[in-house]
Amino acid sequence: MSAWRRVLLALPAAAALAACASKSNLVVVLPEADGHVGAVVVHDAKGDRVLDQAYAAAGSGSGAGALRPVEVAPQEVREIFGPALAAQPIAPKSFTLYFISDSARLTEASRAAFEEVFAEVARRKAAEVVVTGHTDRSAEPGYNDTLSLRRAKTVRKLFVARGLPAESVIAAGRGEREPLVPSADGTREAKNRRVEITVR
Amino acid sequence: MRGVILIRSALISLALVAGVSARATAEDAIGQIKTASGEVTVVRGGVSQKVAPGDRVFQSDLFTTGADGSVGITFADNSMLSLGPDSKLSLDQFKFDTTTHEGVFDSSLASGTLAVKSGQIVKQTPEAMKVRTPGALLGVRGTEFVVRADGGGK
Repeated sequence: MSAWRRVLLALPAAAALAACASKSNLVVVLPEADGHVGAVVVHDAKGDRVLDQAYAAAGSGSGAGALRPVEVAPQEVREIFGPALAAQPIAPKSFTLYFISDSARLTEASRAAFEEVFAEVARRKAAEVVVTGHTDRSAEPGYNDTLSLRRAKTVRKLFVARGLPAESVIAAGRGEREPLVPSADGTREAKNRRVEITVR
Repeated sequence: MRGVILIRSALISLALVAGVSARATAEDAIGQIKTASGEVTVVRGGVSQKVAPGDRVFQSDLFTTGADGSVGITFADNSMLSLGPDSKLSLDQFKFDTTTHEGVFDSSLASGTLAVKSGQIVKQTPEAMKVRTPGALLGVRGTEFVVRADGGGK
């Protein structure tokens, strides 16, 4: 038997043994789709420990003992957590649509782009939509609060007209508080006349 | 005449109760079931019921999955939790301000497997989301991780 063959045969057995010994309780940090890696702080009887590398893990045997650093391979994560990972909902997705100045009328390009947003709604089970309206700074803040809400409600109606239940579409106005592009008070800025839509 | 008034007031109170509870339901929902397969139940207000995609989710809900069960939930801050088979998860506390994105999200995994993707609460305030297991408290700084709990040795 070649050395390689022995290693390959021994690997699953070693992994299974390790799983029994120290992974009954387990936490593993995963890399995100874009490669970014977050962090989890483990607080337990042994103190605090930060896990902030892809596949960084802490585990313990049966019972509620303190977690210790353990080695976990991606394949092992798939074996242990396969069903939980398969049950993850589709990640929320965001879109921005733009409006004609001082109106709740979508620009021509954004009217076309709405179809893309609706396609995202259609491909999801039990889709919810959050529409948040914004304005530029060319009018008074109070007026802009009303205008931003009108924009959000206009887009909300488009979804409801396409058959989405009214209670599944939330409309809110943020006025001029959250510009996409910073601008001086009283100025027009097409990029800030928008609704942000999250489909989830 | 008196009977009519009684019936009418009974109808009005019924309508009031229905109206109030319907409104409370819509406002108090903290998330929604997006995926569910096999046996999945939720205990809410002492009553156990099966769940399906589209169902609303509330603070204090206790989810249990059977040997073939799994469920995925998306929350108001865009965070997501999903459970594998033979799991028990309670949603202890959820608060989220849609304007400031401040909030708290505490849940407890008593047993089984859980996959987590944190959302806007953690983006605004790292560790404002916590997952408790029988042996540890996990402070979430973002964003994706998995947890297994063996049920405290049971």
